[in-house]
Amino acid sequence: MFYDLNVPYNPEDAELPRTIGNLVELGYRTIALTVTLTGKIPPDHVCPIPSNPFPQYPEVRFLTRCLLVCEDTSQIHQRPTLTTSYDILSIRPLNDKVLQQIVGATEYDLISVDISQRLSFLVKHKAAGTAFRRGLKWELCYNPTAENAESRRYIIQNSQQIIRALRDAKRGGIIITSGATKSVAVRAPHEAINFGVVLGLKPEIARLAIEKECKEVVRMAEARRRSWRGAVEAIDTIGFAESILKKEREENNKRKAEEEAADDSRKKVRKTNGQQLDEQPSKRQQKKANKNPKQRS
Amino acid sequence: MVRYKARYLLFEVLYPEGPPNGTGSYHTPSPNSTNEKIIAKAIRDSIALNFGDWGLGTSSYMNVKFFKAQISKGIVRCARDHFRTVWAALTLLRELNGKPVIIRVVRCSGTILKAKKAQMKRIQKEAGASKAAMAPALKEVERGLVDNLEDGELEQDD
Repeated sequence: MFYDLNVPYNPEDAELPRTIGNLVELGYRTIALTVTLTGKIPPDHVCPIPSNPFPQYPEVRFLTRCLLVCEDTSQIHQRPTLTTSYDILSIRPLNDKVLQQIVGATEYDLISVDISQRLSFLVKHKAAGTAFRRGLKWELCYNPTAENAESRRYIIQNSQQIIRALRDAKRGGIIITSGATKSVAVRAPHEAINFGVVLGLKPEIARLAIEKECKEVVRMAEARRRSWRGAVEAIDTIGFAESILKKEREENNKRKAEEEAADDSRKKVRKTNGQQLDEQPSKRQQKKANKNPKQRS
Repeated sequence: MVRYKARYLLFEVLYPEGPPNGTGSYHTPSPNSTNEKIIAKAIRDSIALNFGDWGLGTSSYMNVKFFKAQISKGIVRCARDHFRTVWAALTLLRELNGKPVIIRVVRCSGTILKAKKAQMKRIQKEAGASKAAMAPALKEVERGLVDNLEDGELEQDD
């Protein structure tokens, strides 16, 4: 199963249904629609994406993702307002200070650096490694490869920088996404994998980057959203208790039925055994009777 | 002298802006004028654009074995050491005959026979054939009876 965790969402975009159609046709089964937010977010912010945006694809799982563009460290701590309305939280640091804050303290799922432009900071091993240890993934977005020569150059340069900072991403930590704004900018999963290899990833890592790493991001995001600090999760206790009781009752009934059945069969066995017991001595006697004459002779 | 090691990439051209909606719209036939030469030129241009002279030089042994416009599928042969360059060039290709396209590599194989078989399988699958029905056609490919897959079966399906 392949993931594409970055499709920019714009309700007025007429190309979006076509883009989604292409992605589904090419074999993606989990697609995250991204909303880009900048600066301070009002507390009554609601996710503009409807709960089931494309009901014509029942086999595809649609997620909502927000991309918070952060220029200042004061804008980082807005997670509580976003957690309730988005499935995946990603952040785009615009300077080194914000990056240091993100990898050290806050809880986001993805770091999405705009790799099609010149970065104002260097991605160093220390920052990348800290992010990796906290389960944060770096996003490589291949879409703008299809734009102009300059952005193509920066994509190669910046993605190699990130890969190098993660020490060839030997243990993962990178996901590959499309970020397609046009319907023709999407590519099949294996194309994305091959492009990752051309950028400098190992083939198996590149495959993970579009499959397992994305799965991990979704799982982590889910855990963060539904539980307290990713450790304790509230469950529907009454429903849970009822389900347990129901299970027990069913099991009891089953056991009783089995016991009864076993009793019946035991009785039958006893009966048959009794008959056999009756017969056996007679056989012995017969044998004895047969043997005895030999002994006598 | 060591044998020349090659990779055969089976690719298909998808037209995302083909006939709007409806199943199978992506698998429209290419224009009849699309032949091996045009495809090869498009790939070379893409390599030159994305990988420069070095890329063009290292993957110079690339040639398009055949391309069937009717089914928009073809096989390209390239050096084993540089097949990823050619593949990436196919990925980064955006236009063919002035139409936006998505090129998808379906199979990467070491022998042309396997690539051909994969192609035949795909054609039959698209036509909705079962596994048992595929077998004779695959055998024909194996025996070399179907050259460049110009067979009547596809036309029957259409």
